[in-house]
Amino acid sequence: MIRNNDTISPYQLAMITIMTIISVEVFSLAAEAADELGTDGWLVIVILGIINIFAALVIIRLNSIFPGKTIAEYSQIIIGKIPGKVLTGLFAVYLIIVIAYVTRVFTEVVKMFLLFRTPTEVIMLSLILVCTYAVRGGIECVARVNELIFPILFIPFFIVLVFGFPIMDFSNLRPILQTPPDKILASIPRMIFSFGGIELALYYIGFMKEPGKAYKPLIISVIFILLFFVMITVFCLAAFGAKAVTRIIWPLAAYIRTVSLPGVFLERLDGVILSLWVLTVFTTIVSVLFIVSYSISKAAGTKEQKQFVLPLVIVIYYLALQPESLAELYEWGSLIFPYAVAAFMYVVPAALLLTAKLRKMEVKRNESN
Amino acid sequence: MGFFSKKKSGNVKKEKEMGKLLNSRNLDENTKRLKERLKDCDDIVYKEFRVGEEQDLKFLLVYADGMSSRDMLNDAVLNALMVHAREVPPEAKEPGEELYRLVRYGGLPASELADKDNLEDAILAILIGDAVLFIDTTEKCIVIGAKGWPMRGVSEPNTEALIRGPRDGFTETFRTNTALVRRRIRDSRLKLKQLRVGKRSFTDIGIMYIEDIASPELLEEVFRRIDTIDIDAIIESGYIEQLIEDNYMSPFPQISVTERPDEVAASLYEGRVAILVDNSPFALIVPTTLNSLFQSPEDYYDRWYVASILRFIRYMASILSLVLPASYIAVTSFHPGILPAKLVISMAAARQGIPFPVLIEAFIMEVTFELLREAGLRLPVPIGSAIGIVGGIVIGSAAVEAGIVSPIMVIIVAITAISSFSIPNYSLAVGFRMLRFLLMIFAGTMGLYGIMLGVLLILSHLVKLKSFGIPYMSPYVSFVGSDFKDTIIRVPAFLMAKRPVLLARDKIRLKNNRNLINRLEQEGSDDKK
Amino acid sequence: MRAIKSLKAAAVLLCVLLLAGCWDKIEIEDRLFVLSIGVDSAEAAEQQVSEDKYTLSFVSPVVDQIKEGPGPAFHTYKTVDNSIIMSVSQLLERFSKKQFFGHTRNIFFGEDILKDEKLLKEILDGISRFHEFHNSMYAYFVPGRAEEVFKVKPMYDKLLAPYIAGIIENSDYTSKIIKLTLSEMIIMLENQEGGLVIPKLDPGKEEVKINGAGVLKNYKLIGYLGDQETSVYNWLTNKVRGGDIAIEHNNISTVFRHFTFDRKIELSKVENGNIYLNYKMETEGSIEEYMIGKEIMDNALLKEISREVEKRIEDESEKLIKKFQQEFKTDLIGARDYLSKYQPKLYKTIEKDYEKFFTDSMVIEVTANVNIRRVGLIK
Repeated sequence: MIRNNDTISPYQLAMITIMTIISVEVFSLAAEAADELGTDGWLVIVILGIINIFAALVIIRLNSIFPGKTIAEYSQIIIGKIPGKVLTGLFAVYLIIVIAYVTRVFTEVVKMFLLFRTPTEVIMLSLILVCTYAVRGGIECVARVNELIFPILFIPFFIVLVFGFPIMDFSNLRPILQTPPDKILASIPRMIFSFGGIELALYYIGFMKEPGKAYKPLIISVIFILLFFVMITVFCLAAFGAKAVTRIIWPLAAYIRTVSLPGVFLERLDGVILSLWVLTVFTTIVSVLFIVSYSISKAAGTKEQKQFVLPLVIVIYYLALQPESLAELYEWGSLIFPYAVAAFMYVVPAALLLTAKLRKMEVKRNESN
Repeated sequence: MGFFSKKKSGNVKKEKEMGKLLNSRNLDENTKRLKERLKDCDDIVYKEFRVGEEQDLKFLLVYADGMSSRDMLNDAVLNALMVHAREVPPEAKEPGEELYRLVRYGGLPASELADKDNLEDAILAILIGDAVLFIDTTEKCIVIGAKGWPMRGVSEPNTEALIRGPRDGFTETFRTNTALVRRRIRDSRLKLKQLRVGKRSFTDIGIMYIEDIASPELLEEVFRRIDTIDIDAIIESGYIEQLIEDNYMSPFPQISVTERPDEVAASLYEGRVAILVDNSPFALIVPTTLNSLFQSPEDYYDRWYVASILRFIRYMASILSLVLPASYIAVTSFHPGILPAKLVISMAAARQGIPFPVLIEAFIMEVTFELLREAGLRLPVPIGSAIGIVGGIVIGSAAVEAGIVSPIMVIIVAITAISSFSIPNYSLAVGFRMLRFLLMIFAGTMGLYGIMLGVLLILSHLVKLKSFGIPYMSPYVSFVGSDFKDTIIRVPAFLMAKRPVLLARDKIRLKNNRNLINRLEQEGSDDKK
Repeated sequence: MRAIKSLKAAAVLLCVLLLAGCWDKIEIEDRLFVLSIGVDSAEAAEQQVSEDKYTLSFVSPVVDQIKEGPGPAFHTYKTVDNSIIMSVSQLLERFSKKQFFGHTRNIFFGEDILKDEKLLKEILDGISRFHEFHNSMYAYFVPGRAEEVFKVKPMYDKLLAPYIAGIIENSDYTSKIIKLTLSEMIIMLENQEGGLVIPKLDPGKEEVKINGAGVLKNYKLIGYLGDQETSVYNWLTNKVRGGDIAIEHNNISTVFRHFTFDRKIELSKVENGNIYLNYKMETEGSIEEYMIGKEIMDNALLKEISREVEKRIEDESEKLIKKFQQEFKTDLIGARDYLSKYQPKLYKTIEKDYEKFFTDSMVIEVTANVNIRRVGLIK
């Protein structure tokens, strides 16, 4: 039974989505959420999650019109060849920036907690090269790697999280619902990037045999991430209190530092957990990098995408070294990402879907495949 | 009968068309050709004899001494033709076809008989161990199955011994091995396709599969790959394994190797294909997944608690053997904060005065251990095990006393070695050994981060690997619920209803009988009233 | 194909280069584990340069003497410099081994540091920012100089730091000890605007005693709590687990030992611009001592005793609350916490002048409820 190379199963879609979205943003999530809204920080996340469920629905609907095709292909069908290629190109550029950003942030975290004197270049380059090896394996490799890493990461992580109960004081979450709604809405743009990654479904659903089966996994992933983020925010708020948590750059890391497993002889778990975190950053970079090289290969018309990965590495590496400091990096991020993510997650799929509907491109079963 | 050889023109055409030289009708001519080809092969025996009341029918029996069973030939051929033929007057005294048919279809009380008509086939038959009977006045010769060479008895394979399970193992004789497998699958759908591979060795290879369980694409692939082998000799099944495997550079074996017929039979029932090779007691089973390399037949003969616990221990042990030295290096050199204060202080105390950094120390101990292990293998059994123990203890403690390594390092290396022995498959254990060194280097440069990167590299590699089209990590990826019943744990026997989804057709193998068993209990208690 | 193969080979070689250096590798025996830190402001006599502000003292174990050995199990040393980071770097000039702070268990603040607002803020920032410190270390205040602590040679323990940390962990059994980790300290200072109650450690010759506390306001030490008062403080802030309360009943000294202690705050009413809060204390435990000849396993008697205990709790609490309101003029007893969480609208109106409000317009009552469950082994 030789399986064909290019399809992923619904379960794999869910895993890819979850593992891609959860990357470095989780560390600073609680601080960002509590910054504007204090103890109501988790509310923003819930609202954003619900919005994103609708966004996911739009994306799946769009993809079901063109089964077996990714956005690189059907955007050309919907809006014409050149605009389609331009759109794909922009998407690829945005994704490259995302990878560079994630790599850089993670390297900074590693330098802060794990390896103090190792040069940034070495940490980054080694990470990207390992990701390259995985991406060169094609969609199969990417999907399976995501699948495998999910339990390896989450089971220890949950165990560690749960052991933090003694230091948590849930009364720190009060008072609830004190912030006025306009403030809540105003802080949504800041948090958009945390859910960034759903737009990758625009590509990945194209690799499924039946896009109709994507509803369940994608929605479940968004809900899972929503709950996970809320849990993290709540835990950090409970452990530190709304005021103090905004002063810490990476509250989740600080939280893990204070956890001690009773009876187990390991003490400071932050090293261990951060090493596990490499797994999620790895999956994020791998999933996104694959899409970038795939879209380049579609644009260039080549069959394989393996050869584009290494040159991309050089671009990403250069880009990731650009910001001079962590502060500059976060500034960048807050400038570009709210707009870029909103564009690609909300605007583009909705626009394309609308255009497709207007041009009466309903499911043409004989045209596709 | 004359010494004339009739060479019809038709025969010459036939010769050229077939490309093989036909035998001549003249026995002496044939004998001459044979002796020319088999010149200097002094173990070939040529027995000329005459048959018939008038002793005028010339026959030649050729066989290889030591390869053919002399007793059988004496009985089936010489006795029959020389002695008993005298008692019965032959019904046809005509030479040629008639005589041939008489002898062939009624004169030889042997169970395996075949017709050949050219020299190549005849010589091949002789060299395989059969005997060839040449008859004067006809170009056809009779190949008599008379294989009988010295062979080892069926005994327990010493590399795969079990506590509970059958104790027969494959031997070097192809036919014995196929018989051992067929005993366990008395189904007419068990097929055995025999091929000969090797230009000079003509080694017999048997491909066994169960027709309606194994997938046709898999079979096609297996046959295709074996077809591509173009080599002069196959000495052991390992040659075939290396010539047909998917990825030769991977440290992980993609084909299972076993000496146990029960394991082969169980794999065939799962939808796999077995390749038996003559002269080798090691059978190949394709396709292989990482999960199957961790399974041992004992897991299925014991109850599920035992099996699950042992499986779990095996997995833990393999992870330990891969990661333990590297973690030790990472934690002591890079992140001592992870250990509690008392442990750290005593470790630091133990390492006072050791001149080497931990990485080098680990390498020294590991390499020493590998040397000891190799040395132990080469020496004869009584000395080998003694060297292993003595070497380990003596060198270990001497090194500690000399202040070259710390005692903790010795413990770590010992635990690692013991863990690696619990991996059922030898090639896999060796693969892990290599990777352990790689991880140690990663740990030595970048600590825990390095170990994670190394683990990710290995994981990516494993995920890319395929064995005959089946992904190597099969039950763990492409999540199919029913396959999970046999991975880290093994669920109770009555629940293992389906064959592996990716491999097999004819999915259901078992029907749940739990309720029937319990019902009988209840009925019994009713009766007692 | 050639190009790709050589590119691959180049990538592999590049990887090998990456592994060439081990920048962070420090062998475990090359590390010097610092188990406790003491912070003082530098005395004029010790200052080499006028900018030197801090005297930091460190204690590290002598590793091979720990299990057995004639020599001392630990050594102490100190640095004088103008910031934490500089002090740590200064240590590199004097020692061959590199200091490792991952296992530091205790940090002691000398009195003079706590009295100097600016210095305290600077040093706290340095401590929380420095990634090598782990913020689960316990913080203490030492009357006098912190370096005195390091001269103690404990009677039963080999090492000083685990000895002190062990005492702190006894806070589960007694209510007179406050357990304060560095992270809690910083969070409290942040949330209470520079107010904190920090446990006091008195160094002796062969032992230390932890009882009592120091009170900080606006990052400055303004007063002390005696050991009984510390007990009450723990009651009021719901930090107590186990402890004893001694009372006199009918001229007999008796002790009530409790294992749980719960404190709930309630808003009774708001009247005339005053907020009336009620602290409800609930506890249960056993009576440990009475007098031979008298039996206490009598319901009515137990109820009497429990009422005595309740009275004692209420009186002591109200005394301490008054002390906080009038003497210290700062709310460290959890009222602000309660108001901001459970009465947010009310809190908003008084947020700006909270201190004044707390001092003048807050009336806090304490009601205690004591249940005596057990009386020990004899009647």
